[in-house]
Amino acid sequence: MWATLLDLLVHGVMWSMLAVGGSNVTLADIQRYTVETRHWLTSAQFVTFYSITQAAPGPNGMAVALIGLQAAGLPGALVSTLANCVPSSCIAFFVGGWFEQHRDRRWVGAVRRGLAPVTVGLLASASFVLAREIDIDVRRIALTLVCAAIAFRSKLNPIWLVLAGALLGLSGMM
Amino acid sequence: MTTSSPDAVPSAASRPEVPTHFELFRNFAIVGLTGFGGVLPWARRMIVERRAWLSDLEFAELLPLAQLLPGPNVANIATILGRRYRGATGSAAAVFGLYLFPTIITILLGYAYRRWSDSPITDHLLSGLMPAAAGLMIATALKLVVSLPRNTQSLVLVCVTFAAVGVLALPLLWVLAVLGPLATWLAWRTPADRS
Repeated sequence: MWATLLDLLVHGVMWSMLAVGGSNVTLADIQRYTVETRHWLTSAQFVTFYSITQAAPGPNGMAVALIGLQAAGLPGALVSTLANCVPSSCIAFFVGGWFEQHRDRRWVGAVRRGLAPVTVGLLASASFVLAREIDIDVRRIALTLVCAAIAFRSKLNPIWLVLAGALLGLSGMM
Repeated sequence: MTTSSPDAVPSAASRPEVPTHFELFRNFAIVGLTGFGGVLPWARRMIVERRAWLSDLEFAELLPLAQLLPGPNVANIATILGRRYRGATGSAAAVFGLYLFPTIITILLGYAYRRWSDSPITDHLLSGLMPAAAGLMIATALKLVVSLPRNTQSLVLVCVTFAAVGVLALPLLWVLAVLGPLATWLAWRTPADRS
């Protein structure tokens, strides 16, 4: 039990600090270690856990909480969640603080202004890739486009779009 | 405690008063609670549209840092904004808020899954929820595109990055290694016109 918790902690911290550019980059390594090395869960369970955390609200990477739950119960889930968010937030605190203190330097401003369009391009790519994976038929493409248009043009709370999508799915229309 | 005073933020006079610890906690908790299919659209809506803590452009300029640092970008935004307004305890309040509900909900879903693991409901739910969530992501990306300074340089950089990563699927590290220094150099040459 304690050995498993320590294992979850050490690897969770490592994945948290390696997740440069988002939690999805460490997904393959998490799968390799938790499924193939430790046998905490099956490959199918891994995919399901990932889908569940995609549908649930919250930041990316919450799948490790479910892996921790599977491996060591509630303490495992809590240890995994803390290992997932505390180390990367500490790094963000110190690096972010350094950037804020030196924001008046010319090159810091140039990095910030220069990288803004590149990051926006990366986000556009991420949403395009996401949509391409999810929208496997015409109905799903139409739903994505309608939601994108409404969310872009109106101030409607997006929760209604998500709820409408979920209801369409549950009704079996998608 | 606070290493960065609010005065360090440009145009501090024109913005609402500095959020308290509880406001940081509460607003990021709402983002965490409502962020179905990804929290970024909800974080942008809260920070830019509802609370006006940052302008559209300031949000777009904070993103590169939040994206390049390890961890989810919104967790990094919570850390950086919490620090800016209330120091270390502000960061802790914002990050705790962001993770509170998602942790509880995910663990409850985990227990539910153990009981009803073969239910097709998850598949049905996802088949409608995920396309809607993808739409929100696209809308957020579009809002960020129009928030950038209106010049050819920005537009070309967005399009080249999108073509390289989104369409051609080139390795992210290579794209950043080329476009990062290039974009910084271009911004270095042009004056910092913040209008």
